[in-house]
Amino acid sequence: MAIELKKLNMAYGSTVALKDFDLHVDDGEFVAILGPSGGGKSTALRIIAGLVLQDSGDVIINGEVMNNIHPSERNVAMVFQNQALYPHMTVYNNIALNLRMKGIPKQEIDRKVREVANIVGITSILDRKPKEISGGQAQRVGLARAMIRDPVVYLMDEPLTGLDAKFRDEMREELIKFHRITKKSIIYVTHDQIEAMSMADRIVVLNNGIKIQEGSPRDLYDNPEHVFVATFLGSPAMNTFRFRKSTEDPKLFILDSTTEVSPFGLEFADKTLPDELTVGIRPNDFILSDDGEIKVVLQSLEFLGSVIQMRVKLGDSELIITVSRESRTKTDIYDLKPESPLRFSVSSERFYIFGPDDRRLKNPIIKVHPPEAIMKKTQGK
Amino acid sequence: MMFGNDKRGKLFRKEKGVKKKDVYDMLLSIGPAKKVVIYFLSILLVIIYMLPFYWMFLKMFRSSIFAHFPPDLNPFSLTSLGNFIVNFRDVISFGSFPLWYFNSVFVAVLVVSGSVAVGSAAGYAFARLHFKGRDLLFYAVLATLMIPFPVISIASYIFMLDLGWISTYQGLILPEIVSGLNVFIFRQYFMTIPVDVENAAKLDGLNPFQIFYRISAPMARPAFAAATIYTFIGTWNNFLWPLMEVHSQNLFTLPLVLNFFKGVNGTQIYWNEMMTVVFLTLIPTLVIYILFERYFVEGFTLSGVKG
Repeated sequence: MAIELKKLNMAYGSTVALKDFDLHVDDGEFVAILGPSGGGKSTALRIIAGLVLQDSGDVIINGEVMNNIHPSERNVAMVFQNQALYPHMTVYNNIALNLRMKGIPKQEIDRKVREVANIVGITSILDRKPKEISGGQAQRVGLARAMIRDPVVYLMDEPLTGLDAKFRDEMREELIKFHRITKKSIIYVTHDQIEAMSMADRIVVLNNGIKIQEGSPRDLYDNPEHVFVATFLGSPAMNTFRFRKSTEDPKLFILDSTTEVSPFGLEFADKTLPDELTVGIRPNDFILSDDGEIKVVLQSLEFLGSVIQMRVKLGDSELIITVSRESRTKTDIYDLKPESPLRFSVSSERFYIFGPDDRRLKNPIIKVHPPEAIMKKTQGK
Repeated sequence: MMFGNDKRGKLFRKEKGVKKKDVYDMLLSIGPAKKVVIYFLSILLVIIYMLPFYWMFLKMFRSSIFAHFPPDLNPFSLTSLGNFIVNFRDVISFGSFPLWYFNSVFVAVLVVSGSVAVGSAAGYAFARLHFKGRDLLFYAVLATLMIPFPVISIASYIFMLDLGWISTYQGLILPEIVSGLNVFIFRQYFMTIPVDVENAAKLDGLNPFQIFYRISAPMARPAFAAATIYTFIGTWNNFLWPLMEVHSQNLFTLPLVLNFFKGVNGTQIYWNEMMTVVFLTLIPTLVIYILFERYFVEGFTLSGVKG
């Protein structure tokens, strides 16, 4: 195991950055730590590097406890946001500095610098200063500077932030290649779920210093255990609705923002359910159908190529729905105007039900009824 | 080769400080009426600032100390150069003029290098190191900027008296090395340097002292330029402290020398020689300014200090 973190705790004054954070990273594994800014992920990376000293807990690298070891002797390399190259040194010297500090002979340094420069494709700019190269080249210099140390693990702190969107896509591909060539472990910190989903073998979701969930990208997407994970992964984000238990019928839940009873036609068979629930539905799990049980009012419609993204109103809540361009209704989808009524259905396994603590409920038994049936039931009382 | 060669990617670097280009762009975006006013005021300012120089040239190219009537306002005439050479010869053979010139240079060089060395190290410490009472100490340093020198001049004099440093080089130099302004300029500049650059250096195996002089200090060139110019001009022109501290002619600096030329009891002023000394005094300031000019504005705008 390349890296192991045991019960890391870290606080800046009264702000908790990490709480009992455990992490293990296998040799050659690409792990992304994903979370919003201020979630503690950057702190975790800096603790591994030794730039920040944890309040408690252990950092174990290659089986050795590294808590009191200087950053330069931990055998890790870091790639920083905006690269943090030394602006007054040439690219060559930026890469070579580490080996110089170790007192390695000149010819050896020269050979190694040229070797890594060749791998990342920056041989032609070795004599330039950082301000004379492009952002993408700076990115590669940052990688080369990390690579020359031949570390156990690469620590990457949002290295693609600050690049423009199109170029970010290309750099993602290159980082995947980089990982394949070096075969080293990478811990990649990001707030961008697309970066994490597209590159990582495993994602650790961190919020307010607490690990919420970890797993493969697909696992996190399909089986989010927490509202936070459910809404953080996937774009556009999952729609969530808060429901409270009907005072009249414990099987019924009422959407918070409306007086309408269960607009999804949901009925929970399990009577032990808590009084409040959060129901999540991914935008692409709505199926446009003329006899669907979910009645909404269209607000706006955006054509995004292969899909059409709609903003619709359900009671007082707004939600986002994406449908494929092949979807059909009575009226042609392109003829829909704002304020048009629409109906959707969602199959029962596509509902994500979370309890009041935002944790996913284990097998809440749900049935989906046509809403009319439910309305009748309540009106009948 | 693993990656293709790509020149498209751009990093959004935040531009820091004011560049000459920005000023030009700003001027270009101003309407014609405003422009006339701005140019008029600028030209007026230039004239006001240049008048003393004009007068200096007028006088240093004359042979006589007396005024003519009608006054001759053209500084350059056939006899100008000859007059200047005579004045120059008279000045450098006056008293121990070469020694006094050397004193000024010697004191200025030591004060500038000492003050910049102390200021940059202290500024770096205030910007980057964490220690108890740091901010309080920094405010104390800032507070010293608000005290004018005459207020502490007598205390400083007594201090030098106790040390037995009256009329010595060290008495002339050491009190001037401590500069709150330099500490402030450097601290503000170092705070603009991204911490991650220093973190990268730490990972590369540099110790804090190596990080300071191999990474951070070279990145702070504008601050060094600003501090050098500012300190040099201050020391070079300093009159009050050398006047109090120096009792022997052997330690005179140029501002004290200028004082000679105002004549005994102010009866006779040797304008032509005085202005020749002024001219000779100006040269190093101009050289320093030209050498560091391109960093100067940036250094001061970044530290938020106006010169």
